[in-house]
Amino acid sequence: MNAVANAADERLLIEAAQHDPSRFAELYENNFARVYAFIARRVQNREEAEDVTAEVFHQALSKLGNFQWRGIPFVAWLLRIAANTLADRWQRESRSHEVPTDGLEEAGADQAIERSAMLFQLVERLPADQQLVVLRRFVEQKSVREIAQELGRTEGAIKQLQFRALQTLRSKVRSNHE
Amino acid sequence: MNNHKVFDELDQAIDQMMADGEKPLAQDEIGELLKIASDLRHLPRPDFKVQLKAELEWQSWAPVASPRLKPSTRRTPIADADVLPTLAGNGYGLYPIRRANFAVSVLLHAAAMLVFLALGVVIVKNHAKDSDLHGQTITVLTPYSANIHATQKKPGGGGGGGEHNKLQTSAGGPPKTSMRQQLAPPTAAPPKEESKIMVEPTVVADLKLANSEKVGDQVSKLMVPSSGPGTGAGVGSGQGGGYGTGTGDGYGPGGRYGHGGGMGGNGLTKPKLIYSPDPEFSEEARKSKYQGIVQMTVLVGIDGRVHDAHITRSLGMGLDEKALETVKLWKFEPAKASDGTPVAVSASIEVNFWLY
Repeated sequence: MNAVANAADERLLIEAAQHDPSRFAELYENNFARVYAFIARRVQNREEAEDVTAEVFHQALSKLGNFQWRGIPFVAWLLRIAANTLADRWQRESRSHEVPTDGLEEAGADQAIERSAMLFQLVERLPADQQLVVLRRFVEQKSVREIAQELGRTEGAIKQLQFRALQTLRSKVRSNHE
Repeated sequence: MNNHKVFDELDQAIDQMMADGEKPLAQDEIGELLKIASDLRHLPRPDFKVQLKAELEWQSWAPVASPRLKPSTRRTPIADADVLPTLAGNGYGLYPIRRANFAVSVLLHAAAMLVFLALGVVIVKNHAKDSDLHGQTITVLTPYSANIHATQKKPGGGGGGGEHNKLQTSAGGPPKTSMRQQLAPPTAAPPKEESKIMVEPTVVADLKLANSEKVGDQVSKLMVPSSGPGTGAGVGSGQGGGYGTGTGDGYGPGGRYGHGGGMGGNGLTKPKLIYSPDPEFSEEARKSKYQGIVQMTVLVGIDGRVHDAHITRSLGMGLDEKALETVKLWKFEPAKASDGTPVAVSASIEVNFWLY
């Protein structure tokens, strides 16, 4: 899933963004899915996941000048910011959660996160009608009946699209793992 | 397995999973698809990624004035309702959201509104001032129960006035003086309409001056009638119903009434007539085509209503009663003391009954 083919390329991209912040967009595109997946698995709802993700990338952009290349993937630096942000939030809210910050270098390779990040990107490549059903069903959490009414289709057709979309995603995930 | 049955079974399992929030354990095909579905519950909104990218691009262009929204404002109902899409940034692709522009627009609109409001206030005030000058006027106001004559024994004040005219005071002489209550202020300008109060203009002073037919400035060469740039109802550059550069109903550069450079008087403002329906003729007077003026003294209370009206010059034929009935309907903005407190004052007023 690494969009940046190798560490050297990533290093060049980071140095370019340090000199020209507008190049940060490429780092964002390459790492968004994994950062979001890391956060989404640790918070209670989508709104909180989006808030924390936004905070992480804003912090990363503002602190990019301080980043020093030590051969560690850039996503690990982002995940450390994410872990600290979550810890600060929970401390403010007096929650008893603890976010392990050790081993974050490997966290980017965490299977669950990788799988989620991969799924997020695969959804974008689904056929338009399947993608629409997936977004309505799992993001907006609408029932099949509501989706059918909205799209002017039968409930059976929506159920079929839902099934086909999940089948497609499963096969893509399998082929990527193999 | 029947395809439709599988679709239904999967959909029911998804409903169950979303309701319970638990991860599926089954290892069959439905179970595997449910695991995918379970991960999809964390799927980000498609526009979130685009919106955040736009925010970051803006931050990278203007890091000092980054427009980043607070988390709580990122998903407002407005953003979801497609209202103000440029503010919410929905549906506009990768274009950065320029909230600064929106803020500037709001400020400009607010400034325009303030200008309109200010103009409205100025117009209303000027209208009120015009009404005060040219409409039904009530003159000679003294504090109720105050002994004005006791103060007048040692006059040391002055007076001034004017009609806020752009022209200086026109040529003329001083007005008639009197130590009695001022019944009408002097004016250089001819009356613009027939007043219900037809009394001789005077200023409150104990001077004996050579009265002139035309009131005005003795050194002025201006022939166009002008009461001067002052304010109030008198003549000159001062304030009030007097004559000169001072303040009040007197004569000269001082204050209140009297003449000279000293101060005197009580600092009251006059009550302002704000509602004055015309009197009705009595049937008898109408048939006889009888007309004239009824004079009376009234007490204008702090409620702005007329109390204790007494006829001082009767007209008869039922017109006195009609005048009394009418003035009790009049409404004033009450007189105010120097600290702004409303006070009751007595006033001498005249009600005209003219048939034509």
